[in-house]
Amino acid sequence: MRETRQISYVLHTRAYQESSLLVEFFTRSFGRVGVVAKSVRKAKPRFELTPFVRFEISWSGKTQLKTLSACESLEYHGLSGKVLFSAIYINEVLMRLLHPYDPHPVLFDGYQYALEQLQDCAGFEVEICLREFEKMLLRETGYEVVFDQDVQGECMIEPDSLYRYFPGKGFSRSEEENLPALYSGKNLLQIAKSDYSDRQTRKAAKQIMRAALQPHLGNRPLHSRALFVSSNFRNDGEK
Amino acid sequence: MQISPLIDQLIETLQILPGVGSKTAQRMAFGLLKHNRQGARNLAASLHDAMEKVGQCSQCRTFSEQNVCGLCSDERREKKLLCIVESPLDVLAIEKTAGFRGQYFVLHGRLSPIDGIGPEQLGIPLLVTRVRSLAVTEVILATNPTVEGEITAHYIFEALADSGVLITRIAHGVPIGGELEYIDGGTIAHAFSGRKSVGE
Repeated sequence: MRETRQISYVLHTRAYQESSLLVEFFTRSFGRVGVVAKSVRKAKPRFELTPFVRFEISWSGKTQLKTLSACESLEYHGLSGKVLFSAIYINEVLMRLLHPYDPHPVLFDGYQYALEQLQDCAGFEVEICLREFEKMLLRETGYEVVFDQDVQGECMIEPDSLYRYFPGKGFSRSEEENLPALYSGKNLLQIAKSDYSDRQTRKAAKQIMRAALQPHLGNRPLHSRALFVSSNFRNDGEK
Repeated sequence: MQISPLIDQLIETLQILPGVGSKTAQRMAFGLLKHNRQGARNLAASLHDAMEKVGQCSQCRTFSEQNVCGLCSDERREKKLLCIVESPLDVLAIEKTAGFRGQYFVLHGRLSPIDGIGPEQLGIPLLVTRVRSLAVTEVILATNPTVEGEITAHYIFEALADSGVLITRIAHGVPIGGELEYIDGGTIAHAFSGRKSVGE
């Protein structure tokens, strides 16, 4: 099986044997593909197999693990500083959620869009970019969170009511007002419309996405999330 | 093919060395047995001693059998400059140029969330305490210009941001003797964003 000129991004690399790399690519047409890039660590190649660069790659091989036969970098997303934490978070989530050879072209385009967005955003725009990506990721992998209907799919979310979120099911109206983790209908409707101008909406979106992703991430915690937590913790602790 | 249990074991263990496969290991084993038994005994003794005694320097975390390594205890070195590197080999590479006379801190890796490597494994808490307690005025982030190296550099930058210390990052760009036409887009982009006025 030989595939040529596939548009892809590197999700993760690790050293393999003496001089090779094991590369997990996210390809547009095949989804996640594991490829061995032979001898790339020994001789300095003309391309660096690094995340956040759009590549055109060719591979061959009969088993699930392919061999890289050609690779050319097409576009470099100039990510630096704090947005790298966000970008690596996206890669880690994709590594956990994507199954090999399960194509997700729409998700691929969304991933590329997210990297382009991250390139020139700062502050809470980064957060919005991540939430929109997570929303799309859940939709494309079949775990969509419906923000404008309640759990039975019968009633529309009402702006003035309070709702609880049940991962994998949806939102259910709550009569009690003092429960923790209640979300206002107004915030949910804003998330549905991708309007994150309200700080409360951003906070709710973050909590809901986290709860919605959790069942699909496995038992291990997301390590890239810990990067944010410890840096935030430190800032709060010393202000 | 089985030769003898001891020789087989020797050939097997020699293959843990980087760059040594079964054929090279055979050649090494027989070469040592035939020509250089004393050399091999010395090798075994120094391997044993090094593995038993070498630990990490309590200040910079580089490999050393002393509690404080030679570089850290050298009085002639600038105590105000602290260079942060990923591996002890990077220390050697920088030392060869003789252009840097400050001290080091070795991370022994880089932040790699997908592999589960976090700040604690890299001794970043120790680094923060060290910078705060010593008279360091400049921290030079010399992690590799890979995505993980950048993440590590930025994480350390954030951890030290309010310490009042000048934090610098080594320059990346076109290598000496390099030709622009063969250089990847990322490097050229870095080289342009980090350009400086001629005569500086």
